[in-house]
Amino acid sequence: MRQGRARFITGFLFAPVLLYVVYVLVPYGQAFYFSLTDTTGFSPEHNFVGFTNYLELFSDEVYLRAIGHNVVILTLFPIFTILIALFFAFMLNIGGRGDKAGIRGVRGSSVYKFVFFFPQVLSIAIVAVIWRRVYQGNEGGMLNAILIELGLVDREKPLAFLGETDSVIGKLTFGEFLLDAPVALICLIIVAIWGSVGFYLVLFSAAMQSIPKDIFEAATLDGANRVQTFFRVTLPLLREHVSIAWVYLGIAALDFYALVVGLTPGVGGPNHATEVMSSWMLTNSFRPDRFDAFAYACAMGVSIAIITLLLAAVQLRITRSREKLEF
Amino acid sequence: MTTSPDRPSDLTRRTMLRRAAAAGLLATPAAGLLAACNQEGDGTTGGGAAKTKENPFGVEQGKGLSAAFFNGGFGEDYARFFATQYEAKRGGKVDIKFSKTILTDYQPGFYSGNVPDVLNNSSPETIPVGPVVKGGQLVDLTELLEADSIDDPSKKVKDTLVAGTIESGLFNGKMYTLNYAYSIYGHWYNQALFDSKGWKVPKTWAEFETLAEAAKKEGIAAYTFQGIHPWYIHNVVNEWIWKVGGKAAIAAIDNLEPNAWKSEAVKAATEKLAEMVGKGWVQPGAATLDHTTTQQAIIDNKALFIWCGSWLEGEMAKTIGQAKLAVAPPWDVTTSDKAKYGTVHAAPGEGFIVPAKGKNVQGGLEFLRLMLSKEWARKFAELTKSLPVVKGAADGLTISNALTSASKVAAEAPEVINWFYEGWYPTLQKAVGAQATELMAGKITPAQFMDAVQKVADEVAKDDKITKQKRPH
Repeated sequence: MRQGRARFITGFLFAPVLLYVVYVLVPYGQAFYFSLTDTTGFSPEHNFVGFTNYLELFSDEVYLRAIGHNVVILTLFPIFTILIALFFAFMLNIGGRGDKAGIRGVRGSSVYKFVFFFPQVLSIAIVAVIWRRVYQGNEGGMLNAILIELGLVDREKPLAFLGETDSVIGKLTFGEFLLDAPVALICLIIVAIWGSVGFYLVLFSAAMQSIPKDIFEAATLDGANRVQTFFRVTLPLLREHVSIAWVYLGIAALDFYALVVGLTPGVGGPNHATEVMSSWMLTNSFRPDRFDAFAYACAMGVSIAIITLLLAAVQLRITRSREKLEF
Repeated sequence: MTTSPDRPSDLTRRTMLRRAAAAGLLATPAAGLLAACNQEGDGTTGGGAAKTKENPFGVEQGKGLSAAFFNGGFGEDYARFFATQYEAKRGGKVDIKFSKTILTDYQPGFYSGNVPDVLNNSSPETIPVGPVVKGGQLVDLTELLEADSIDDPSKKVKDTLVAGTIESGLFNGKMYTLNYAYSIYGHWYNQALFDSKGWKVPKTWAEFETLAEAAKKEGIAAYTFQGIHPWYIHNVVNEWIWKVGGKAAIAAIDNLEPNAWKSEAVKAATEKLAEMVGKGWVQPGAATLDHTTTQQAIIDNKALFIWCGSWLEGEMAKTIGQAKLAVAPPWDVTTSDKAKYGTVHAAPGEGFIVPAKGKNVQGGLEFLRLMLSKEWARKFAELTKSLPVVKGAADGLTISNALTSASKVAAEAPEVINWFYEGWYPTLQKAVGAQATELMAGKITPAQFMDAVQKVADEVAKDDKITKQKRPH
């Protein structure tokens, strides 16, 4: 009986595992192997060069700056997404106020839910087209047009948004390592938050709805106001969901490739202001003047994977849940 | 939500790690796939018929040929014409393919040895010649240059090409790329606007200054550029450097000489660019706009000049309205420019290569030889409204206003100029474009521009993984 079950499971798993091995594990292995060579990517002939490609990463100023940009994204993107999503979810499910008995969201919450979720169903290409128009750096851009009409911006000197390389935190240098947060990058982060809030709003909403209403009612009877209810009751009960969201968003922050490609001039521009690790890897894969660019890009890809895995491991350890409340 | 303790978090943990891996290595699996489809890479280049005067490469009559074309601004018609002509003249089926992304579509083929016999290596992303030559995967086209011309057997193919064609296709001193279309570049303006206002195209900086101030009073910016595509403004920088410092200034840059980017010519050229920004002559926000928006600004009379190639009219055909586009050479940048007024930048582009591991390499060479016949080249001009590199092939054709204007500028030019670092060292070209965009956005000074670009030039010069080329002074 047991053997039959094993055979049954194996039968089902064979195809997916095979696909996984052929299309995921083997390419990973090959990318690692190529990262130790000087392959051109155009010819099967190559030499083994050891870890020199990895050593070069440490003196690649653009790559180090790109890591810095990923760190900035990692700092801002998850926090703001989670805070905004939590706030909205609370208002839509519990925040409605007490002229009547019972716990409910604010008026029209189902409409809001749909509106907030909407960016999630748009493909990234459409998101890019929309936001390029919003951020356009002349009087034809949506934000500029509004600001110019309000008299806040000079028509002759419109705001550049995605073309703005000024850093909001100045330029901090640590040896070769430059940490900056250009306005263009912040603009991308805003788009990312706009696009992600809807999903986490739904996630947190579902979680809040599964919390028994009597807990909230008890809090209300005890005289807790909305703020107290949120911080003392809702948030502690959502701990697990928030930590899952945190890890997901952290991984997304280390990628960020699609938005950079879709929205920024010359992928990672202007002048590397929005360069992230993944965009710089792609640019390097086919850098035509350096013959072993492909091998170097492989090394970069492997290093990104290592950084991402380390981050995921750290986050999982920090947010590992201790005890759970059963209800 | 009744959950038993450990299991869900275990599950999410695993999902999470998988996602982590997927996110991190999104692009790398492609590298592995390439190896997965590795096949026998030995080309069948041998064999073929005997070489004769009429058949200089020894093409086997009736042998099939595979040709891959870039599907871009030139369209598909000319390629289809070539294919039917080849079939009629040399027999053998021509298997013709079109691609919008040559690099993506043909890189795996180069890795595995499964390549077309002729490849139109053009697109935003092309097969880089350096790495492919290093692997011995491209045919040296010297044989083609030395072969007899189709039209006149007393001439060799190399004697039928316009000046600069061979130089533009060299790598390590050998021609691997045949650049087929000849583009003329300069500052484009709307002739209709100039006529209605009684303005004349400036020849000196003083004239430009007067015109710019006059235009400013009418709410028109004197200058704009294709903002988010830095390649365009990088060309203006080069043209102006040449204009001020002559060939020597650009040759030093092409040859990565120390402090080539700190010369007086670079200083003067970039200071003039900065002056335009400082005086408010540049279209507001241009640095953040794309090429069609800024080019449309010329048509809509919101700006006077934009630098572009002779394809501009074709590119803007749908929205051109009543505008009459014409081109002018760069006006004098200083009062002591080394190059005369009228100096124009023209260069062959639209490369064709013959991969060494194709199944019919001789056919590939023959295809290129036929492309350089007057009959094919003239048809190319008619179908694409662009000039081919074959001397006199488009004579007498009245293709378009803009092209007539461009041809006139080229014909009157005392000197036709070009630079090579753009193709030799794209890393440097990108740096120039990025820094020039910053300069035009008013973010950096000319001195900062020179420092930043010189730094990249030094890095390229130091990097022994980048093959160095030499341009004679």
